[in-house]
Amino acid sequence: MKKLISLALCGAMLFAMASCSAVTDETTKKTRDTEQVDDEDGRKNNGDETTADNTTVEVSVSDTTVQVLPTGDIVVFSTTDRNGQTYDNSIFADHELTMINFWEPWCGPCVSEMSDIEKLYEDYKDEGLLVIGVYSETSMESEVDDILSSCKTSYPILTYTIDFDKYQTGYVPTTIFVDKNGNVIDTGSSFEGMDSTLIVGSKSYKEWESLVKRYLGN
Amino acid sequence: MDRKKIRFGIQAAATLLQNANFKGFFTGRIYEGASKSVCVPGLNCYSCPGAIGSCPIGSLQSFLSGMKFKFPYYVVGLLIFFGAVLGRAVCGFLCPFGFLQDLIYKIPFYKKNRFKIDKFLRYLKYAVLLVLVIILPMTFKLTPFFCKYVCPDGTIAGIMLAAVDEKVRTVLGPLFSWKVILLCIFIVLGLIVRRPFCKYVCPLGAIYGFFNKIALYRMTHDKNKCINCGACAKACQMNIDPVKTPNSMECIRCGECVDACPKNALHLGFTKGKVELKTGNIEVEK
Repeated sequence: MKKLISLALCGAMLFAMASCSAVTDETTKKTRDTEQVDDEDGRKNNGDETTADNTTVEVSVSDTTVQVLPTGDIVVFSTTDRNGQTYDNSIFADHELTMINFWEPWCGPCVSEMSDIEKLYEDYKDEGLLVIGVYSETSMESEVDDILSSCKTSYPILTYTIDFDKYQTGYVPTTIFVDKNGNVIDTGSSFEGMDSTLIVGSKSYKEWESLVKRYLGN
Repeated sequence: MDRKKIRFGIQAAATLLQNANFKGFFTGRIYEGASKSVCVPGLNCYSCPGAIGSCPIGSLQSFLSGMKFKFPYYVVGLLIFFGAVLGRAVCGFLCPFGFLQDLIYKIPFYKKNRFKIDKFLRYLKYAVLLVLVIILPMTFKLTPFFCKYVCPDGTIAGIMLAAVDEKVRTVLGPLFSWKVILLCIFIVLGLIVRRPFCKYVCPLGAIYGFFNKIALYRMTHDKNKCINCGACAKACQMNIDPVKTPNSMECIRCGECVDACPKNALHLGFTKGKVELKTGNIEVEK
């Protein structure tokens, strides 16, 4: 009997390993609690961290949902940067392409791609690229200071607002591209028919550059 | 109820309890409630969709690899607490990955627990603790080396997340392949050797091992009852001789030696056994 149970359990595990069921995203509507501050202790046990070439993902602590976005969804937001200056979606109109990068100060892959993103911004801002960094971990301000100064970040770094909830995947970094009219761009790198407006994971300078070039019309 | 069944029950209950967020297995969302800031005693990945607590080894690395160094008082304190009370009984009773390995070992297969390099491989876990959990995360910030490159428990969590979340599947790459291979090695090895991960790799087991000698939950050996038959050492799948070292750093407190003893000379439990031993010794001295 015991052998039977153990075999069944092992079988179940193997089954779980083998299965790649395409369970569609169950949109359990929850708002991201920006006030929620867990101790940092458990934050980065990213045992499931995975990489594809230079792509890395970390499980985010934010309580968020994946939502399938209809292409052409208009991004509406209003928040402040670290100095209290207000930013909202009117900023999109002034730029050909806006890249919104959701990151957190405890996320290794996020921080490691930030100097590349800075370089990307420097190289393409004259062609109409705007980069916006967004983080929610307001309890780690001194770490944020360190990261921003070591990456020499010059693009706006904004505080998270629930306006961004629908662009969260549960993982950081997540990045979206927005066009001049405020539409989220479907980058088309769709996988198994999933929504491809939300880009999960960090990328190399080259990978970001090729995406930016494509939407800047070069 | 015999000891084996009780232990099996506790292991199953502990595994279920520590992964009670059943919804997560279907949504691919990890639990983020308040209990997530508490460390569980065993190796239970924070990123397991069911996990309601965090892994102490992951938490330790998280602190040590922080941008600003903060001594992980909380994690170290909890580890000392679990260690002082239970020692490696945590491994034998509460650890989900230990439970999984126990289940795998039950599958009928070629079994071999005693081989030459076993003794040397045991030291590997201290190197893993020192290098992958402490030194490398402290040197290279924001990278939990053990979780990222080794931990098979994290691989299981990753597989479960990838199974229900397409977003995760898009970014699976060479690192994931490496970790799946490593997990498979531990599973196949686990068919032959009892708990290979615990014996050779687990940094958590290495930490709790230091506490075995002083933990409240301990083993006592009654010299007066012992007939030196060697049945206990033979029964031990962690390759310990309980007569020589009843509180060995390698002992996971499964109690199989206690059951094997024909004379009831071994006792496993909280301090009570220790008192018995003392009185026994006094009688001998008289």
